Formats: sequence, structure tokens, C-alpha cells
Amino acid sequence: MAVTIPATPTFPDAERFGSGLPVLGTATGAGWQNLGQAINYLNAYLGTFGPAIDQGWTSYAVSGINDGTDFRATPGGGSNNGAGSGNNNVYVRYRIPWLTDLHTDLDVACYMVARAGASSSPLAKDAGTFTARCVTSGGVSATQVVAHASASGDGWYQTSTPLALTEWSSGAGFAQVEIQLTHDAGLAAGDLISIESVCAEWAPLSALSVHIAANGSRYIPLDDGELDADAALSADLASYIRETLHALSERPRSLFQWSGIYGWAGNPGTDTSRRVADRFPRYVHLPMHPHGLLDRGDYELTAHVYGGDNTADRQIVIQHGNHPTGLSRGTDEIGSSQIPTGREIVNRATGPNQTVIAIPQDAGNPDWYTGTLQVPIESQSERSRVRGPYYSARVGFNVADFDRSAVAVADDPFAQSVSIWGR
Amino acid sequence: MAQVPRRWTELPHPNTLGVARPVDGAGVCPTLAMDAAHLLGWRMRPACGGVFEQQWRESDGRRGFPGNVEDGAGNKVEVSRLGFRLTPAAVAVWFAIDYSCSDIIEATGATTRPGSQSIESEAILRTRVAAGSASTVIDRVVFGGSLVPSVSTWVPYEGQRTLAMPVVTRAQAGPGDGPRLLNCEGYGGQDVELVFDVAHVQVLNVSAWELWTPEV
Repeated sequence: MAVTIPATPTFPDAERFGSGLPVLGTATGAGWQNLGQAINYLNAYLGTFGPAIDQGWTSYAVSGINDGTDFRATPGGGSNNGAGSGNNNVYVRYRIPWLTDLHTDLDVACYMVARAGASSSPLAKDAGTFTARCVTSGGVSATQVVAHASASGDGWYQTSTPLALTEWSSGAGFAQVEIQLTHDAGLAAGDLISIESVCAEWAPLSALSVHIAANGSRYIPLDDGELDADAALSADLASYIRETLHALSERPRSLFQWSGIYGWAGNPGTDTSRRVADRFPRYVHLPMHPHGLLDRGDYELTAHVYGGDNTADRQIVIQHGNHPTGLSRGTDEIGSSQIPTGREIVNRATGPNQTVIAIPQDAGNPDWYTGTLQVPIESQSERSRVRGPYYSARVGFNVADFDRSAVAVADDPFAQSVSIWGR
Repeated sequence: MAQVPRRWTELPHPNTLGVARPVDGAGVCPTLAMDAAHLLGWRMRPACGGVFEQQWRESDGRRGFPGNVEDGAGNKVEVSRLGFRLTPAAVAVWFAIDYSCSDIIEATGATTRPGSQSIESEAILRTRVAAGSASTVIDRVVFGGSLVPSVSTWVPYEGQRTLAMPVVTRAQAGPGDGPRLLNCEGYGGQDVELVFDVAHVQVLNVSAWELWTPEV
């Protein structure tokens, strides 16, 4: 009797469950036990690998330099980061979807770089820290600080223990994570420290108990003993399998995490260097087959936008479609004749496939704003019967071509972070 | 036998699971099991692997990826990286990138124009270790070709393949197309980084998913 999470799952062939076949539990070729353990595996791992946050930046986009007085964000055109002398805050912010009530540990790593002035060589001194923290409605609830070590130089620095996220209890359905870059007091004038990449992953569950999905459904661990050879299948077992599968199918994935901030400290309306760039498409390829979109009706996108403006109400438009200009199917990318698409996103410029996130005038106090969008997936004739995970939709935001992209459109630039997830 | 996976909505209604019954192939339980096997086998594995994306901020008139800066002699002076963690079951990493050759401002001040360059870039999957430690290259793949003249649109490139399927690539990348699958078998569960060592182009978007073991 044990709830087993296999090191690597074995996915039983569906034909093992055909009419008249014996219930194979532990023998070679086991069906039910493999099935149960595979479900347990997904229960523990789904969404834990595949980063909750993953982003890199142009060099020095998330950085600060000691100019002899302040720790100034670069390349901000000489402006400091907003709070006057001694201020040393450089932030990036994200919202990530909760997996379950048991997933609380987030491993965070940053690729940190330190340079002496314009030198391309790593700076041989302790240069600063990055601080990862969970921000809840009640304030900062957890913090991990990681120092750049002179002996190690440039490279990946990871929190020694996971960041403990606690927002679940508030029912928010997401966690809010901030990464702050702080320089070391010993840096000389002209010295610079930068984060070039950040990634964060939920720690997988090492043991299973009944736990809850964001939509309230339950994950029920499946016991090997109930899946043993020739064991009768209980009504409970069947119900548990169904309920857990349903919960797994609804588990959100972090699709898009982008924070374009450097030197952000409160007034997005007066410093254009502190806002999300609005010039080019930003999106993620969203695989449509066999993962994600193919096997269900609507796909739900949730977007969180952090921003604001001193002087006017603003809005972010979320839309979806197939591809932006330059990525039209058939000629300049994957050809439709080659690519079994299964189902595809339906292009509509307006109507139910579009939603608007209103960002009210905020007098210099930016905040998070949220919108959701249902992406209808429609069948596409015979190609739906051909396998191949090769057709990707796009999710992101795009000013220039929002009517054909699977995008959220930043139709003004006063946003500093965009987090999108789907399920 | 390969079968088109069923929709989640085809899972049996919970009210139909009210009795214990033997597995005789005619009841609800075996139907549920078949559904579950389909779903797990065909849909959930890649989903579990997840996806990461990468976008780069515009700054100082230069767009794109760190690693696109050259020293004027054609030497790449930086590479770019994305960190993530492989699932224990991962055997390969599929990646797709979009890149552009427009508006590149090199270190010399010269602007690289679309159509004027061919590219040969490299994606490297290697272990992600703490600063100061040596990483192990897991797999690498060279990709590239001539960029189609284009100033205002983004040149897509996407390489993709699965374990049992023919190679499919996006056309505009030109010669050198081939599998864009990075083999990571034996490295499941480890922290890794996907490094792009590129020349003459700006990488704008990167997406990746991992593939799991083949279905039984």
C-alpha cells in the first residue's frame, strides 16, 4: 500500500484497457498501476518544471551602476531610479499562477554579471545581491537574498532554499514575485552589476496528499494497493481518477512572463526608459498539438499587467489569432500542407476574442490589472487526424499587428510587466 | 495503437461512476481508463514539460537578444541564455525562435541590413551550475541560412521535430535545416541552460518545450 510517484512515468497504452483484458497490476506490462502512477507523477510534477518565470534581457537592461553618488539604473539616460541619493532599487515583477495549495516552494535563479566600468572582464569583487521576494496583499511575505561572489564571478546564482510563497491562502490564485537588484556598497564609481537572465521553478511535490486546484477541484493520490493485479476497481477509485484528471487538465501554465523594468520606482509617465517597449511583437509560441489547445474547447488566457500613468486612463488590449504579419501560414513559415494542425485558433479582430484591460490614471502609483480571454478552438477537417506537435499559435502583445496575432496588445506603453498564463 | 486523443469533456460524468464493477471492457471504468491513458499519453506529457519564452527589451536603439553585439570584426562578444529545469522524464528539448536582421547596430556603428547577411548560429543545451563552476554541454545544434530581405517584418525560424515524426522546419531559414531537437536524455531533473550563440541577427522570441519518453 503506497502512493508511488515514479522517477519517470510509464504511460500505459490505452489498448491495455480493452474489453476482456485482465487487470494487470504489478506484472510486466502493467496497465492500471502504471496509469495510477503516471497520474501521481503528473500530480507531483505538472507545471513544476518548465519555468514559472523565465526571461533574459538585453545586456544591462536590468542593471545598476555606481555613478559615485547613487546606484543608477542603466541605460536610463542619466536618470537615477527615482528615489534620490542612495537609492538602489532595480525591480522586475511577475505574477505566476498557483498550481495547487501544496505547491509553495519556488526556486529562483539569476544570471548575475559584474563589470568594472566598460571592461568586458568580470569584476573581481563582491558586487551586490539579488533579492527574490513574494509580495502578498499584506506585504512582503517571504524573501531570499543571494549575493554575487567575487570568487565566482559571472554566472548563475540560485536561492539556497526555495522562496516560500503563501498567497494561496488568500485565494488570489496567483503568486506575485519581485526580483530586486542591489549593488554592494564597496563598488567603485563606474562599477556595474546586472541581471541578464532570471528563471524560477516550482519545486515538485515529494509526497502526495489530497490537495486543491485553483478551481477548487481536488487531486487525489492513487494508491498502488487499489491498482493491484486483479483487484476490484472501486467506485471511489474511478471517481478519484476522473477528478484528478479533471484537475490536471485545468492546471494553468505560465506562458509568458515579461518585465521590462530597470530603474522603475514609481513614475512611469515621466521616464520613458522605464516602460515596456512597444515596438515589436512579444509573444510565445504556444504549441497546439498535441499539447495545450487541441483537445479541448476553449483555451483560457489570463493576463496581468502592471502599470499606470499619471495623466490619463490607459488600456491594454488582449487578442488572439494565428500569426502576426510575417508569419502567415504557407509561405514564410511552416506550411499548412506539411503541418497537421488539428484545430486552430479562430481569427477575429473584435468581439468575444478580444478583451480590454483598463489601466486608470493612477497619479504615479502603478498597480496590477487583470483580464481574461477565451480562445475558441475549432476543428480543422481531416488534418485533425494527423499527429504532430508542430503548429504553434502565439500569445503575447503586439502593437503593430494585433488583429492577426495571438496577442495582448499594449496600445500604450505604460506597462512595466505583462504576465500571461493559460489553461 | 495510436489514437486521436479524446477531449477532456469526454471524461465520464462522475455520476456514472457510482458502482464498483469488474473490468470487462464494457463498463465505465475501462472507458475511463482508456480515456485517461489517451490523455496522459498524448496530451499531458508535453504540457508537463512546459514552455518558456524569451523576449528582449528595446534599449538604446538596439533591439533584441543579448549576444547580438559584435565587436566590429565579426566576433560575438556575448551569448544569451535561458535557464530552466528538465523534468525527470525529459528526453529532448524542442525550440523555436524568431529572429530579425533589421536594425542591427553593431559595435562599430554599422547597421546590418536584411538580405546582406547569412547567419550560422548555435543553440547549446548545457547544465546550469553555480557561478564559477564548469558546465557540461549536453547537446548543440547549428542552425541558420540566408535571411530574407525584410525590414519591417520579423523573419521567423522554427526548427522542430519529434521523436517519431519527420523533420519539419520553417522555410525561410534556408540551408542547414535539420532537426532542431536538443537531446537531453540522461539529464532529466537537472538544471540546464539553453544558450544561443548568434551572429548578425537579433533574436526576438524564443520558446521551448521538452519532450518526454515515447509512449509505450
